[in-house]
Amino acid sequence: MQPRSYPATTAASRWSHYIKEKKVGEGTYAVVYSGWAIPTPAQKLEHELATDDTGERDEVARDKKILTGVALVCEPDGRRKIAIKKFKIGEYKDGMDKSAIREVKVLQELKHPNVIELIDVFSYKTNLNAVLEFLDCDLEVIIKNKNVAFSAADIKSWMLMTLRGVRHCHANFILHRDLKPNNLLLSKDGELKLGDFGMARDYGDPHRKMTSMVVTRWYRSPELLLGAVRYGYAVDMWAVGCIFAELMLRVPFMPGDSDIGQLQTIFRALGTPTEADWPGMKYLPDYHAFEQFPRNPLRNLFTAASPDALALMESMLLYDPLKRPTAHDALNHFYFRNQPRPTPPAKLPRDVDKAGSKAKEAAGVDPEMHARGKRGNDEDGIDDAHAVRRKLF
Amino acid sequence: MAGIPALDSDTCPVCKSDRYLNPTLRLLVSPCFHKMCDTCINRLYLQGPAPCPICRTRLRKQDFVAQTFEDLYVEKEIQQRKLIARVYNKRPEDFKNNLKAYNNYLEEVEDILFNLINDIDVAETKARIERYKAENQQLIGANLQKQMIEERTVQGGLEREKREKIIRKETYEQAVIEEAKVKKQAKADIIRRLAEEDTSASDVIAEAHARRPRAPDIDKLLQARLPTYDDSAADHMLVEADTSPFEPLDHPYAAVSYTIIKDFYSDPWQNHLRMDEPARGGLLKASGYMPKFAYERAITSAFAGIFAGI
Repeated sequence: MQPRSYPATTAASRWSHYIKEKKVGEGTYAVVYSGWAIPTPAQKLEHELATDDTGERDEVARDKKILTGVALVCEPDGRRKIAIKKFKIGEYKDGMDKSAIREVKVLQELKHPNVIELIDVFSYKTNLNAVLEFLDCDLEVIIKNKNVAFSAADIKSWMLMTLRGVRHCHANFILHRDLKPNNLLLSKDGELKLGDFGMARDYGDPHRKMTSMVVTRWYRSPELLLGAVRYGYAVDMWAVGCIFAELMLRVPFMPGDSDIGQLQTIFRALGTPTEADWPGMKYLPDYHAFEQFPRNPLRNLFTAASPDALALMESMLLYDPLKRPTAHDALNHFYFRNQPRPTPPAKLPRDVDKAGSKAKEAAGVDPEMHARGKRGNDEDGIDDAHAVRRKLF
Repeated sequence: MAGIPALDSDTCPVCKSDRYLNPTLRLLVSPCFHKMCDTCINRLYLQGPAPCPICRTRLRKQDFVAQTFEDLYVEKEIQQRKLIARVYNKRPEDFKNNLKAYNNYLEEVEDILFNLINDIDVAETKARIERYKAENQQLIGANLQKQMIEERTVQGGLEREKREKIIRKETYEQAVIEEAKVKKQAKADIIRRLAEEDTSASDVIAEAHARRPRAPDIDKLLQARLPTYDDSAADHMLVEADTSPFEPLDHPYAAVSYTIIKDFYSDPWQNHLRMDEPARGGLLKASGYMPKFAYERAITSAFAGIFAGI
């Protein structure tokens, strides 16, 4: 594809125009291209000055980072790698897609190191285009890639960043409603950022019902599965709990095969809830009598997990939504203050891509063995967990 | 020993069959400490959970365990101690080595155990435990973790001893074989010399005696074979490496709030939700909705930006 250039809007004063390079992905609602943001001449000059080794400039840049919480990653010539998300026009061609509007509106509100940055929005012909920061990896890739080994401290670090992002959304009364490893994007320097706000919306309006058909099935909370239409932060916390479990098991924790099967899967993993576990459960629209499953201690399944990690996970996977911690409470949980300390983002394990593993093969080292050798203990625990899981489901 | 039946007979208290009628009789114990034979358990709990025929506690098939101690009273005590030790796991250092406080605490734990084992004020004691659990959640978690690391260290030490023992045995056996071989060789040497050379017999023997092989030095051999361990790695896990305060919450300014949001306001705007009706309110609570969300949002929005520019 020929690189195409689009002028920046006045809202994004740093950039003069954007260059679209190649298509990197396609979803139901949008096509994503990679590209570059080209700075305005004034901005370019400032950038060149900032990269000079004068301490004063560095200080200004640091203050800026503290204030906005967002570090700008630029190429030496001041360009910035971006992703251009082109939203497809809705089926009936009678206006914009709801999810596109939501994503843009929500991202305009949220600026946080752990939330994907919306740089600009422009329209071209009849399309709406969102200019986002470029993040080429996500947590799902890391979890699935068996060549990557990670430790308890790494899991803590990812959980920390996820919860910080979620807390920022909730503090602004926005529910993400589609949290899953696939939507937790990873930057080059290891920072985790929440992405894909197509399902996000505001909450806390008592006069508006919300749909319960949100969140990817495996991460959907029981109240949504039972058809709740007024809910709160707890739906996101359930998803975070599922992600936490998935990070420890390295396979999805509760993979249901259908919407009804999902509830069964949850009950089989966590036990069928009683009225005491979840007061008022019987009033939910889709409630019916469920098959009774006993409650198995999660310790049997998560053999390698530390007690504090298990305590936090268990609290996020409570049936009663109001008993689940808020993101703020979860961050204050002693899990994050206990040893080991979360790994600094820059030191987190990266996706060992094909090129990387090829290089290792050439060097005569089996990448898997290599990874195992380094962090043998954790791997053992994970293998155990796999075996137990297979028995359970 | 209230509530614990006499136990010396090998008779199932439910179906009254005994070892004479049923030689394969296997008695298992329920969490409420009642014995039952496995035939009865299968009969009663095959269809899922059901009440205990003796005390009506709800039981499941997998809850039954084989008895370790002949005396059920001991069995109960051991199990209760195990459970309580997971909650009441404070260590002397948690009392800043104040022995008296620690002893008082141990006394309290024993009180609780006595109550539980002898079925005195069970409900009240359980509530007490729950209260303690809620109050000391953080410490309990931290101590459990310490315990786990210690157990792992001990386990590692035991395994290491086991491995060393095997190596020691092998080395010793090898040394014995080696010694026998050398002796045999020396003997054969003397006989050969007596047969072939002209030296006198006493000279040959004296010479051989002077050159007789020494028993191999086992200590030296062991030293070469035993692997060396680095204990510092294990110790390192016990030492808390980084004790600097860590703030999991970023953006401290975001947490600054100029208002206190109450749980309840007189709010006609939310009257239609009818939170106090059991069905409507119960539905909303079960869905995870709180009127507080709306208050929080309205008040936060009202105050947003009020101090901007100051």
